[in-house]
Amino acid sequence: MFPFQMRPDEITREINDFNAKLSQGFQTLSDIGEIEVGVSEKEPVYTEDKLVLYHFTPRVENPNKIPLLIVYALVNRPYIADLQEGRSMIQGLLDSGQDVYLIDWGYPDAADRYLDLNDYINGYIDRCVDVVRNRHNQKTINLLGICQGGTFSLCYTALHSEKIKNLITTVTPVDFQTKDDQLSHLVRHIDVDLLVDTLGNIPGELLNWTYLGLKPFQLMGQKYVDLVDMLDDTEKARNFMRMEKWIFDSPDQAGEAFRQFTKQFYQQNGLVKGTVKIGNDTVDLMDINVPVLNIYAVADHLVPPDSSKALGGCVGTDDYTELEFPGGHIGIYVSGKAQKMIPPSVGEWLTERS
Amino acid sequence: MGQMLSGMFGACQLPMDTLQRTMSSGSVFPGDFLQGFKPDVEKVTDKFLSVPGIGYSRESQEQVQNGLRLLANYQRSSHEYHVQLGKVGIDALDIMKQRILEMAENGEEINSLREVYDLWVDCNESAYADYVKSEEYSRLYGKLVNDLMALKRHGQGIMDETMSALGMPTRKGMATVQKRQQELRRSLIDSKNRIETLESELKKVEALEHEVKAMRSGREAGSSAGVKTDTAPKSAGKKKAGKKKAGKKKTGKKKAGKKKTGKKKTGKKKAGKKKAR
Repeated sequence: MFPFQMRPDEITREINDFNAKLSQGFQTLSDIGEIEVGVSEKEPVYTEDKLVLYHFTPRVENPNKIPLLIVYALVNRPYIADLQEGRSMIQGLLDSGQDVYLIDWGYPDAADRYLDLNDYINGYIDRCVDVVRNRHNQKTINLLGICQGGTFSLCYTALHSEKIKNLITTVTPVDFQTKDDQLSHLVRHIDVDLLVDTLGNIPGELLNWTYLGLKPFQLMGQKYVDLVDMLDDTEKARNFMRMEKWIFDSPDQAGEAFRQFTKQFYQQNGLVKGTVKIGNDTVDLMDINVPVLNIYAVADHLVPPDSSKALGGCVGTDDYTELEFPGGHIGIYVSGKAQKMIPPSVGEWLTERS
Repeated sequence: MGQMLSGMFGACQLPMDTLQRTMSSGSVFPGDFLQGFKPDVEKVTDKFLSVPGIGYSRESQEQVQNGLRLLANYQRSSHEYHVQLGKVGIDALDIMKQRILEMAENGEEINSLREVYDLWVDCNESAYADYVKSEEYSRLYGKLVNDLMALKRHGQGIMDETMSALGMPTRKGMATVQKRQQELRRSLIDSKNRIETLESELKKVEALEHEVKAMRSGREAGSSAGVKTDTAPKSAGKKKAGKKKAGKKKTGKKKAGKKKTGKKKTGKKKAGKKKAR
């Protein structure tokens, strides 16, 4: 049977319907107003350069006495973890009884070009950890890393395990050269020194293009055709625009940190080989002796599950737990399924160990 | 039956073949046009660009030649990249044709333009993903980026020279300033940390000093209380305290107390000697 079963009148109707939806959509978009992100109440408790350390107002009477510090990636903005009412991992963590802090790295500019991984990990993160420890008068705190922030958290815990009580990593790359790691494949033959020496900071725009280039036909075309179908619903359109805002809200990457991260982690796969150097220290994941909860997403196209799961064979702790999320890299923070699964599991795991 | 199916599939394939041919002819220079000519152009260009510079402006000549060489490299990489992506388009059409044939076999239907579009996206993503995973693509992409960066960097050098001649700040100069500033900040943070450590050590020392002073004054109070018991006691509470301390510390310290209360100067001298020892 010939598969194309379309009559000319049906085709014409479909085109007309599409045009009508598009017109209606323009109206919806013009009325949509300001797109707000970040819902949980928070206050800045420490600032340094462009970094702001936020403390979220607890939502339970007696939160966990061991505070939880979230380390976000340098790529994109951390409000994905607190996007909107009902789609906020942070809200879920607060509801599960955690006392939550978050590092917001801000937007590096040319003056930050020479910030390296030592400045980020042994500098900024360490000082934030100290601030949180001092505020709660605790020797150790809980640490949760998101994506690249998870990799930073692993390095930090390996180097400063005396300050960490429990470690949680979410969609965190560990083995950077798994077979299906497209990002790793893309950067393998790039002369990173030449790239950084030429561009200085790596523009966020370049990263956006790289991510779009992983699935160009879906992300640059199909997604917007799908949008037309949801433009008659203002709330759906608003949710779409919120994600759109986050996706393209990409800070530039400090050149030196980018150079070290791409070379040592992606090109040399140093985290699993034990060759990563942060300042004068070599990161050995076997030095991580605190309990570890490793959460990964099965349909993650940026950090393949195998890349995250490699952590199991590398850490020194006996208390290692894996949690598999049936979704993608972003869905793990914003999907309805994730809200029911991730924060309660993290809260429960932490409560057992705090 | 087989012949009938083949005929139907043939009908399905017809628009695909046309599309494929269109894609093929649109992607590169069609056919063999320019193929014979291209190597000669490159050869001539390379030869021209390898002529050594002479005279006063030899540096600038070589700079321009190098720039043109880098531009040619980038153009070659870019061309190669687009040729390969064009092939991905053709592969995508192959996949699409295959899927349509499978749909025909399974009796599946496509009832809207949207379904055609979705199928097209799927097939393109599939072909693209297959190619992007290959080592060939990784090398080609790396070469494209590296050639572009080399060209850009060369341009920055020329721009810097121009800016420098005009007495304007240069990119190179700014990079030096930024690097030194970051080194200074690190050193400042390091100094700050050391000062904080020293301050906390100092606080410990001060606390110890206070403790020592308190002990000394307690001792003095104890010994003076011991002396004053015979003469003029100040208050019953202090007396008791003095007695308690004196009682705890027993004879040896009592002697020291006596020494201090008896002759302050000699006591200090002795203490000084003790320290010296």
